[in-house]
Amino acid sequence: MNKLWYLSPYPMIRSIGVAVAIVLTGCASIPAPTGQMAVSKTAVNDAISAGSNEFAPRQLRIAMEKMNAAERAMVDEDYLRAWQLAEQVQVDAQLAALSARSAKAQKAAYTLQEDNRILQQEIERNAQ
Amino acid sequence: MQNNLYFPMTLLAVVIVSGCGSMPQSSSLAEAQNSYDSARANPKVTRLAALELEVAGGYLKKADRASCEHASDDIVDHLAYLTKQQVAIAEQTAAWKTAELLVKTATLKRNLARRLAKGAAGAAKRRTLIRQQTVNRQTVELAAAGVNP
Repeated sequence: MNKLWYLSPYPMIRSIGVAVAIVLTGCASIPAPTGQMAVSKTAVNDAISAGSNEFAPRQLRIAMEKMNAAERAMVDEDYLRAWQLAEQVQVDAQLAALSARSAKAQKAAYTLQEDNRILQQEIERNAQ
Repeated sequence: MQNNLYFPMTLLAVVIVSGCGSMPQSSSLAEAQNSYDSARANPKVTRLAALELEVAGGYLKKADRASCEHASDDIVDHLAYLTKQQVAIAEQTAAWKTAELLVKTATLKRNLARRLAKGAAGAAKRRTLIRQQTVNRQTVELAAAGVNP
């Protein structure tokens, strides 16, 4: 077989060769993940407004550190890395936001149940 | 022309048929698979966070395929991480919805209890008033009868 088999005149083989060549050149074919970066940044802001710096500080910090790393990778034009980091930021930030919302709701439920217990005692006292 | 297609097509068929059932899994992928399976077995999660769990299933499928197609460890680990975090998102969504439900029922209970407490306080005040009036009446009657209490 010819060394430059990916330039084979047979269309089927040639198309496979071109596909392999694209994969081999790697990063050059990955476009800048600007859309994903924007989505991830929004997710981080949402996590902050959900109160994650109080209720899920560790998860928020991880998301913010990865966001910074993704931004650096964008500057370095390492788009595969930027893309992966930004995708991770999205799930990390969503998890931080949900953890905060969940913790807040649990706290509210506890306070309400405590209020109810006191009210119940008051009713029982008054009924005597 | 037709003859030229046989070789690549056969190769493709072999790849498809052989699949990767016997492929050894990476540890990150096995971990993602485990967390997904345990969330799937949790009725609270499947009922309250079906959509979130479906997204996790999508990531797991991608991770599996990447592993099948001998993608780099980096890619497989990345997809396994997304799976694991998305499973946690599904679990946290279920926890959040459960807590919200608790808040709702506790609020209803509190409103009811407040009304009851007001009613009970009113009833207690009325009872005290009646008792006071009875005492007053008896005092008057006793005085009229010439008895000094």
